Amino acid sequence: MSSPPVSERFAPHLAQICFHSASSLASHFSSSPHSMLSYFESLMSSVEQRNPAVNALTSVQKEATLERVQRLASRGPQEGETLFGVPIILKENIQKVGFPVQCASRILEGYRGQFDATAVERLERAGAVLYATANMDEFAMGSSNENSVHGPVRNPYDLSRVSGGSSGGSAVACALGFAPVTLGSDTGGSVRQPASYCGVYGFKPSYGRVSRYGLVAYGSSLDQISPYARTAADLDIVLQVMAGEDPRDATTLREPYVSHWGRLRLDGVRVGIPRGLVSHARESGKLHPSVARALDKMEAELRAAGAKVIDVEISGIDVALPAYYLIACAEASSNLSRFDGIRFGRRAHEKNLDLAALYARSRAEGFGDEVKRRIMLGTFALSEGYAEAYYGRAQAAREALASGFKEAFQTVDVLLTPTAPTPAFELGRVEDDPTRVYFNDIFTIPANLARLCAVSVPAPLALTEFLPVGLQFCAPQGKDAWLVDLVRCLEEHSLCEMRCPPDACTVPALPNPLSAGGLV
Amino acid sequence: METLPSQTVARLARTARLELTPEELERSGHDLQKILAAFESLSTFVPREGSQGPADTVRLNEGSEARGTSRPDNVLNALDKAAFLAQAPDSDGVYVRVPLILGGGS
Repeated sequence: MSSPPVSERFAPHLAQICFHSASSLASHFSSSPHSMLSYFESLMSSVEQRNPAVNALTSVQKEATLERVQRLASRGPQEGETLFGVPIILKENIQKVGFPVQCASRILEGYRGQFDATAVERLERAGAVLYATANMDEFAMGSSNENSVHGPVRNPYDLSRVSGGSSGGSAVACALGFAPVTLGSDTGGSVRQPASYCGVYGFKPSYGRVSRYGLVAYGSSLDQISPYARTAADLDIVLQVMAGEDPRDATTLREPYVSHWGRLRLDGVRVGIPRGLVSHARESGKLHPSVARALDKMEAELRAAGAKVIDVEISGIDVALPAYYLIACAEASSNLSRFDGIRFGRRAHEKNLDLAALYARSRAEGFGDEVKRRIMLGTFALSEGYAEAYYGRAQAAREALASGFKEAFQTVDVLLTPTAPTPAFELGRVEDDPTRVYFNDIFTIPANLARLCAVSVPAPLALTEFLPVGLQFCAPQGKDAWLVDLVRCLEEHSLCEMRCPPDACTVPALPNPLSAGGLV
Repeated sequence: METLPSQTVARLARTARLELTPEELERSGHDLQKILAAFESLSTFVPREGSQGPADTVRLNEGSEARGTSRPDNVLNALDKAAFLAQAPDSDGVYVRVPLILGGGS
C-alpha cells in the first residue's frame, strides 16, 4: 500500500512520533493482540504529557479504554474488524456513551454522552478503540479553535499560532500522532481548514455519506462527520467503516461507499481550477504567497503527470459566502434552541424567573459571543419581514451554486483550489469586523453548500517554508471513493507531503513498541 | 440596507431567547449591521431562469442517491429514562422540574 512521502528534513523526527497508520496498527494487533495493552498505556501516558502544550484534547478516557483494550486483546480479532485495536479520537460534539459531549460550551458543562452516534457504533464494531475527546470551537462555530471554553488549541508547528477550526483539536491530535485517525465535523470547512494549517489530510464526505445521527447539529443541511488521517489508505478504510445508509438519518445516501482503491491514474484526469475565485483572492492581496506558490506548483506537477488542468468558472460562487452564513446560522438558530437549560446542560440558578426568562438567562450565561452572534444572525434571517430577502435569497443562491458545480463537472472530474487563503495565523488576532474572519472559509464553504466531497492535502513546501499549506480537491456528491483514490495517486507522484511537527514542540518521545517488527 | 433599529435587535434577542445587556444589544446591532453590509451582494443576486426560489430547496435532493424520507414507525433511539434524568439540571427522579408555567410568565 502506498504511503505519503516524507521529505528528508522531517524523517529524523518520525522516530520521535508514533506515525503508525491505522492499517499497520490493525494488521499488527490482529496478529499480536496482547501487545495492545502496553501500547495503549504508553500512548495515553505520552499523550497526557504532550497535550498541555497544544491543548488539543479535552479528555483521555483511561479506564474505559483499558477495559475495552483488555476485552479486545483477550478475545482477539473477529471477522470484519478492519480497525482492530486502532486508537481513534472524537471531536467532543459526537455522542459516545459516557464520554464528554460538551461541544466546548459552558452550557453543556459536565454533559456526557447518553447514546452512541452511528459513526461511533460502526467504528467500534470494526474493532476501533475510541479513547479521547478533542477540543473544538464552541458548537463548531469558528475557524481558529479560539472560541472554546477549554481555551484555544495551538498549532504544533508554531505554538503561537492557531490550529484552525472548528475541529482544531482533532487536527492537531492527528498531526502529533495521538491517533492515526481522528474525527471532526465539517459544516463550512471545519475539518479541511485545520488540516491545511496542521499538515494532515482532512476529508469532508459528500453530504449524506456518513450518518449525522449522534452529531450535535450546527447546520443540518451542511454538517458531515469527517476524518483526519495521515495516509490515503487510512481514509479509505475509515470511510468504508463509517459510511452507509442509516434509518436514523433520512439524509444518508442509499448507495454504499465502495472502495475505488488502485483504479485511478492521474494521466487524463481533468482538473478544474475556478480561476475567477482564485484570481480575486490573489489580486485583493488575501492569498498568502506560500499558498499561491503551492497552488501554482501543484498545477504544474499535475500537468507533468499527464492530468489536464482547465480553467473553469462556477456560476453563483461569488455569493457562496453570504449564502452559507445565512443558511448555516438560520439552521443553527433552530438547532441550538434545544439548549434551554431545562432537560440537560446548565440552568441559570436564579429562582424567581419565569420559564421564558429562565431560557433567556440560561442561554445568555451558557453561550459564548460567537455562538450568540450566529444565533442572532440566523434569527434575523428567518424573521418576519426579512426572511424572503435574506434566507429566501440564500437558498436560491445555494441552488444556483449547486447547478453551477453540476455544469462544471460536465467538463472536469475534480476541482482544485487552496484550502485556505493563508497558513495558520497568530493566536489572539483581534478583529473588529467579524466578516474578515469569515473570509477564511471562502474556498471551503462551496463544497458544503453543494453537498460535494472534498479533501485537503498537505502541499510539498520549499525548504524555507515552515508552516503547512493545504490544497483542496472537490468532487461531485457520491464520488468519495474516487476522491480517496485520487489522494493515493497524489501520494504516489509525491504531490503531497506528510510532515511531522518539529522538535520545537519539545514533546517527549513516544515509545515505539512496534519497532522490532519494522513498522514505523 | 437601512440601519437596523434597536427595537428590532431587542426583538431578535427575545425571539432567540437570549438575555442580552444593553451593551451586548448595541454590539450585536453593530455586528449584524457589518455582517449584512458585507452580504450586500446577495441583495442583487438574481436567481437563474427556471429556478423557483426557496420552495425549490427540496429539489436539491433530486438526482442524488438520498434514501426515501419515510421508514416504518418504530422507535429506533430510545433513551434510558434514568440515564436521561441523571443529567437533568433539576429532577425529582420521575420528572424534570421546571418553573411554574400556569398562571404566569410570557
